[in-house]
Amino acid sequence: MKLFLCVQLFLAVSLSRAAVSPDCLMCKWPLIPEMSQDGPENACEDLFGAACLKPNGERKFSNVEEELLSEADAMIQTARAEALRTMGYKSTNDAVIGELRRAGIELESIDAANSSATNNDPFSIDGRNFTMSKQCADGLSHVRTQLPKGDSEEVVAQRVKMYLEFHKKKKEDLAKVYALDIPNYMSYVDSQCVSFQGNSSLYPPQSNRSMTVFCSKILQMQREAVELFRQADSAQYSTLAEQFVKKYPVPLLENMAPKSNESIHSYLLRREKALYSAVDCSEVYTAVSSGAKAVLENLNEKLMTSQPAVDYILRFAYSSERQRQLEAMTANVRANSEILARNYGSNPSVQEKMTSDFRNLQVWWPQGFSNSDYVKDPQTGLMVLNPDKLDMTEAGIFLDPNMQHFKDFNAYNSPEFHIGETRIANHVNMQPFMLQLMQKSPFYVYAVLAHEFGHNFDPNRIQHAGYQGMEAQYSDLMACYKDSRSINMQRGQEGEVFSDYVAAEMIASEVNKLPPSMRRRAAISSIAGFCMMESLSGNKIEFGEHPITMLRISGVLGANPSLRKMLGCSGDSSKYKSCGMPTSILDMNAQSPANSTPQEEQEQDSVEM
Amino acid sequence: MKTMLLFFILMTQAAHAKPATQQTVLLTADYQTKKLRHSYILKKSESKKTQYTLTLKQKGKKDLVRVVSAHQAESWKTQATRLIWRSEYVRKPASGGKRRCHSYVKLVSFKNKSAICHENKLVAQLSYGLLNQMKDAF
Repeated sequence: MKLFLCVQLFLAVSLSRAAVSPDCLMCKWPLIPEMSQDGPENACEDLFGAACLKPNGERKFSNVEEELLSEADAMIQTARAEALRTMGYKSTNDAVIGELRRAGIELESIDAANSSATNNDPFSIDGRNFTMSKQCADGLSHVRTQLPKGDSEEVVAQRVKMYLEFHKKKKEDLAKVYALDIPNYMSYVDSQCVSFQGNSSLYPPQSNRSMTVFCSKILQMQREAVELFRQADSAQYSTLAEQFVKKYPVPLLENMAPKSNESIHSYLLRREKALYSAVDCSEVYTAVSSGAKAVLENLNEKLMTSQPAVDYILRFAYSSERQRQLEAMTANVRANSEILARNYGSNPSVQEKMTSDFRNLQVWWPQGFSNSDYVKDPQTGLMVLNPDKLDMTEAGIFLDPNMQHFKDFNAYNSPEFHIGETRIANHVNMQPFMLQLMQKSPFYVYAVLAHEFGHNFDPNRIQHAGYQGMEAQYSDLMACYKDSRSINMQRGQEGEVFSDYVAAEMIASEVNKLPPSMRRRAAISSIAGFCMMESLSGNKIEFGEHPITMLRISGVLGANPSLRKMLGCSGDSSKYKSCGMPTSILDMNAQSPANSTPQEEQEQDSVEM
Repeated sequence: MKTMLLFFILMTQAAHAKPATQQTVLLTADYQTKKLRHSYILKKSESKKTQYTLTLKQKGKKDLVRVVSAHQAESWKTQATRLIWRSEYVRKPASGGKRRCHSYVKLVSFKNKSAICHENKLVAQLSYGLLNQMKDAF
């Protein structure tokens, strides 16, 4: 049995090699395992089902999606950990505990720091418990147990005094935490004064004299806070900030005043009742978590722009292997784009301009940084990117501490534009999350790249690009997609649909160079990533501009005449009208004898129904 | 009689109408280019229950509204406040020439507001991070 399999394998490999076209880009690419599970697929009538769904109707790529997501997360966390190691921390969790402690914030326990409530991101403060919150709660319950008993005026006054003293101490303890985030302390001060001044019936001025005085100084406070914040990088800033908060503690807002003819005793009883609920610890959690967030955000910003993290991300996300593969794909897509430009261009000068624009269209790849691009951060000691010296397109992706550029399953084509004095050239950006698929499914990366090149001459871009007379060239194609027998394309979707059409053309052209036995699966593999797009992008896909995934796959790609040939389908789809330009790349290549392989005609796949 | 009954029903309904909702805008972020205009508006509504909503307004499209958690809303508001202060008050290196500002996004939170300039690269990129977080809600 084993021998039989070996012979079969040998024959299959030999035959495959024999059928390979010399310029076959896709020949060495692996098919993703999900594509080798044939199952009851009916790619000719239901390409979406064939590409995206298992025979039982479940999504085919949920495991691939999970792998990709965890790979992206792991990359970011490892990059951060690399930087933290440079700072002397053994783990991210140690760093969080250490840095918060340095800022005066203790976590309730080490276990709490490891809590699953942090969603496995040790950098998140969600779900963490702070020692100050617990201390406040313990202190308050202690005060409550120590309150003298009795209803005499002196005793009630004593209880009121104890509540107010507790509140004062709480404010003093919080000064250090509020000092961590002066802008939001001032925002809090503002909101307290707005509440007080706008609700004199709820907060009677006669019971809130200290608040009246406090709010009358708000402009002075604002001026001092701004002066203080301007020194935020100085060594003495944290001391000065704490002094500032202690100088201007927000008084307790009391919502009661003595009634006319009310005895002091009765007023004190009412006041005590009000203080029972007004003096609590909710403010502590809000203040401490906000301060902790400011500390960690500030740290994260430094970490993600630090040399160890940037180096790691460049090595991982933009590896030389991926670069080589992408360059090979780009050369192929560019050549195919130029063929399309020469055939679709409305006149020779437009054809020339389109061709030249494709030659100049760059696929963005980071160039890396030199030591002089970094500057030493005084707080962490890390060498961090100096944004003032760097090109935004290069450094920008690292300056966003959320690292969104590395988490979006996306790619884009950006036309040339200017921001101030900076000129950003027309470029395609294949985001790293997309490039992660390079090993698993290069077919899909190719499809995306082809789609992005398609945007360079899509119906939305032709005017901006100065391609005169192109509207007429596309009018039949666009009318076809608008037809309800096709995908009933909506206004505003022209650019995306056209780019999907271009991708279909290029996929068909390249798949055609594969041995016939591989074509169908390769064509479906090229489309597979579209299936992942929807779930990986979460709800972020702007469906306004993109038709829904099922229509893109079955209605645009699955009804494309060239791609249908590669899928081994005869004639048009029964569900979706076929749409295409009068000449496809396949036709153009067929006219060129150099590009056809003799076995193609012989081995044209059997028709699948 | 019918009119009286109708009047009675209307009055009863009015009496049972929801308590007045007090809305506070916590944050607005306006991102505008030649082609695009995205505005995020974060509001706190207080009636019987406090609710936080984030609205995305896009040029030529219907407004999208999402309910977000208090924690999330507070986090965006505090981030925005810090960015506004960094944009407005952090001392810039002295330069002889006039400072240019190509607005990237306008942030407003209570009395704090700033047009974040592209030229202020770090704050612009941090603002991009904030916009992306809000975009994630849709």
